[in-house]
Amino acid sequence: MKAMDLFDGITAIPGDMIEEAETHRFRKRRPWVRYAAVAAAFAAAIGIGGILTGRIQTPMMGGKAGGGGNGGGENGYSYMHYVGPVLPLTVIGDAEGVTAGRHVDYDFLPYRTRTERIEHDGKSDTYDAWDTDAIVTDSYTLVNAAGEDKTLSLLYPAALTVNETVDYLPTITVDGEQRETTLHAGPYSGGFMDASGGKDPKERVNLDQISSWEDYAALLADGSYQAAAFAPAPDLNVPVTVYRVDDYAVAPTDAVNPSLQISFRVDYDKTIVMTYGSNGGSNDAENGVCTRIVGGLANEYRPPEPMYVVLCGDDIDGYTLQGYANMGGDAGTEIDVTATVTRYETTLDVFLRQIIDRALDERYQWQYGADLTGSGIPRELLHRLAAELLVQYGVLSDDPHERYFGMLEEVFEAYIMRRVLYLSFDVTVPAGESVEITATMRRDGSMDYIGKKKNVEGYDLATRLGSLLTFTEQHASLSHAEEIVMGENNFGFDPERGVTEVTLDLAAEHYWMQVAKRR
Amino acid sequence: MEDRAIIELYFARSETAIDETDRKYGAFCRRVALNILSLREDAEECVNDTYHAAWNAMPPEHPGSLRAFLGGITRNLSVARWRAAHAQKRFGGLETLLSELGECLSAPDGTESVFERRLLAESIAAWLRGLEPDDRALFVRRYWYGDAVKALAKECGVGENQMAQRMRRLRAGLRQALEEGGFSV
Repeated sequence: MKAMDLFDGITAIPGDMIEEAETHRFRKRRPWVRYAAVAAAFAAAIGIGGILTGRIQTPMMGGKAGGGGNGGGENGYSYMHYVGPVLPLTVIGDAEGVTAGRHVDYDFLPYRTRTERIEHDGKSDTYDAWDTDAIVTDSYTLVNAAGEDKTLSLLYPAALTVNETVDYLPTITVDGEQRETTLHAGPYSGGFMDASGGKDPKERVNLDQISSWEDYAALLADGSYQAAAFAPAPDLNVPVTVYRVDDYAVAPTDAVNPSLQISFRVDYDKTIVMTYGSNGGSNDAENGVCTRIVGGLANEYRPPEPMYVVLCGDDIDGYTLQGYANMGGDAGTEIDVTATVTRYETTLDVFLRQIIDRALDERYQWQYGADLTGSGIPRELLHRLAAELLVQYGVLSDDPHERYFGMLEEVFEAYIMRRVLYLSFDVTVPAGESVEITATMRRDGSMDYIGKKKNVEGYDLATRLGSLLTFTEQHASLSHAEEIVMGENNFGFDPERGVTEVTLDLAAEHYWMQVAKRR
Repeated sequence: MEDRAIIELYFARSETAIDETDRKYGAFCRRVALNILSLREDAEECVNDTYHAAWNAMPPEHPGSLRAFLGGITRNLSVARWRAAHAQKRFGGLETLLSELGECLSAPDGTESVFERRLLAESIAAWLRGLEPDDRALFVRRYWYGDAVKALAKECGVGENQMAQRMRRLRAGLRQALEEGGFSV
């Protein structure tokens, strides 16, 4: 088939489609953040809350490997696990008269094999270890040619997840001195997909994380994404009624996984039901019946947490508690379980902050693998990102995604969503002088889990993407290049021939390289 | 004037039909031609040829959609003119459209038979019907009307790169649909 055949085929499409296309009014892109009218969003969400039918279950992971990706990448910079490019420093507001030179160094010292010791069964053993991180030093010389001092509001962007900040958040120095920065977070940078790898565009049960340079180029091209990082946080200061279920007592039983189910009648058109600490349940919108269940009541090693039912909208008239021998909640498996139920009123904002803070302090690291308590990420930002997830995609959204059921544990997913974080700080460049700014960070390599690039790590950078600085020159270099074998790259690096420093073409937006550990 | 009334003018052999057609669909036909040819003079000639062809076709043709009918004629005439220009190395807008559509094909060789072309058109139409209205309109506006990515991006309130990415995904979707439909793409 030739392209012209395709063109001819398109020429022959039915007239109604041609008419439709001419008169069709496109939905404008949803602004990244629209939180001002969150109460209105609540009303909308209440209106469509009834779509949550059937038994709740954890969304199936499926589709593309590694939570996204694009099938392994057919070029030098697309990967199943794509960490995103090193992005350039930018400025908010006026930077007239200020120019910037840039030098990016990739130091591959972490690739060097080191010996680590491990203790097991009272014995000591050693093993070889290395990291596939590069230490990136992204340096700028800002020159003020104007006749007066210039104070600049600078932003250093980093493509990361919140969990990754523990290891990969850049540090900023100004003229050699470390500078305090304020952290801002852009919205989730990816999308959602169905469970079968993109066959049903309407189904949104899995994350489709940003996975290519082109995605970043589109994301940051017009400045709206960066602006969204500074938009007001969602206002979740709305009243909620909370039912706390705890003090579980299970009568002697042989049941392996005794559970407790709370069930109640609710008008889904008037009430959004959220839970925390439950393991499942069902929303029967047709009959107005809601159930939530908590299991593992006989787990000696990990006693069950309290279960909370959080109602946004009308309160319920009453509830029923019933114990079951397992999580199925089926007739014939009833057992005796008692619990204390405490009703209280608060706001969603207060409730959400409480559960987030408690989880971060007590079990987040155990459960999600990152210690955010010591990461320096402000709690306020963590609260904000959780609220954004609820309002943009969750049950409080005016377009709730099927991935989210109103189990408030879902908000922690905000911390594994890829996004661009911005470190903001002010710098004054005296008239006729210059200032040196350096961002230093470890940068993980992009990778494929399978295929011909399985043992290759990818690193890339954007020269100007999203930056309002006027660049006069950019250079890149390699340090400890002896630790790696350089593969394909468009930098022009060729360490075997001694080419470890290159000048970048400012007209080229994107540079990338593939490296492998030297064995 | 209503399309039905304009078509009646053609059937009455009234030359006012051409004036009314130009008044209602002149800009549309020029846009379709210009998006393929790039050269305004060539596009203008194609539009005039379109009116001439429409005059000859009606009657007996009685199109259900006058816009689609005229646009189809303009498209075909523009492509014919593009081919002539292409032979003289005068490339136009169609070059870009064909290049993008070529991404849907892995083996761009062998021209389809007339029957296969009809099946192809039906398959494309079926695929389009399964799209969200926004995506369907975008695809048709890009690859039938030939509207620029930049213009579509502006209309949708997104960046040009983002629109290009969306188009890329649509083309990938079409390719998959054609493959599943048994076409050797």
